[in-house]
Amino acid sequence: MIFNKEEGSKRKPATFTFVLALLSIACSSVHAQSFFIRNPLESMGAQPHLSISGEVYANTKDVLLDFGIGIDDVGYDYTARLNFAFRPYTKTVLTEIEEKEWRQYFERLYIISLDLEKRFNFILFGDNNRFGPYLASKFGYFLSDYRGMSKHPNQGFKIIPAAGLGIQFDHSTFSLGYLFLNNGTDDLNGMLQFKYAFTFYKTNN
Amino acid sequence: MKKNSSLTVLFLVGLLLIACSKFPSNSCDVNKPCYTLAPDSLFVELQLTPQSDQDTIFVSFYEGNVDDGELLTTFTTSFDREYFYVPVRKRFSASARYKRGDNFYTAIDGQYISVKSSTNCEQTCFDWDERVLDLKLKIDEQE
Repeated sequence: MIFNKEEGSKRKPATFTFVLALLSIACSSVHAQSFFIRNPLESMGAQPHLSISGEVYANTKDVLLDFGIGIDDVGYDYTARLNFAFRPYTKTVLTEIEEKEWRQYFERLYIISLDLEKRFNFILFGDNNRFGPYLASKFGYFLSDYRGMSKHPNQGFKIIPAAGLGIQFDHSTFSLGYLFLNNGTDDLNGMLQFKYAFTFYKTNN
Repeated sequence: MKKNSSLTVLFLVGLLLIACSKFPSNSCDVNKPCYTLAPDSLFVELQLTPQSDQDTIFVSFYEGNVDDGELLTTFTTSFDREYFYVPVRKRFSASARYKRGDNFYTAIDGQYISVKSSTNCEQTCFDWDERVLDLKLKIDEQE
């Protein structure tokens, strides 16, 4: 076989385009069967069910664990849960109380909150599985415990927004997002949020 | 299937409760030390960041918490450990003030001094946790 270098180089883009077109047709036919876009604001009527969740918030300086129980409405795609978050270890924190005056404490942190979340699932795939972004907010009370102190400066009500992406299967929802936690210190500002939630309801299977 | 799942969950929760609950121990280990006399007082160790000759640490020791307790004593030291003999079943706390350049750092720690009892070979034995107030400056340890 004689290979003409010039002819060969001209054929490469054409071949690549042809293969790409084939792939696109093949994938679109698959998508036509398994994926479709839905209106994220449409609902199937109120369908509230009991739901539990487990979450981890983490950044490079801190980790919090969170557990919740509440209601998941699979019709309107929202949840309302009562959550309890805590730092699973005692952390050394440094706080500037005045100019050039610093205090070092051993801190344990707890957060009791009402978590509200609205999902905007715009992709349906498989057997009623959903994917889409979510917006959430924690309405919580921070309780901190400093060893050796009776007063705890890091205490009070806070509203903490969060956003991310979630994938929802039959009873389980996995979410990955960002918690906009501004605690006034560098350590706790902004955390990644990993969440698993389980909803108790009867399926038609 | 759903009934089995519910029963399984209930069974696991029950196991967890049993595992975490305290049952009277009938163990007998003759090699295990047993202090049959409950102590009235124990030593508390204050751990400090050792200083050079020019720098000293200003230490305050309290019964209760630092912000609302009774100040028992204050002193300066450059050592890395200090000890106090204190009564049990009370809370004690301490603060240690360091100077670093133009900044002042105060490390604070506190602990409730408790004594626990258990049974070994049908004898009541007393034990206690480590009693350490960690007043070491963490920024020094990170450097």
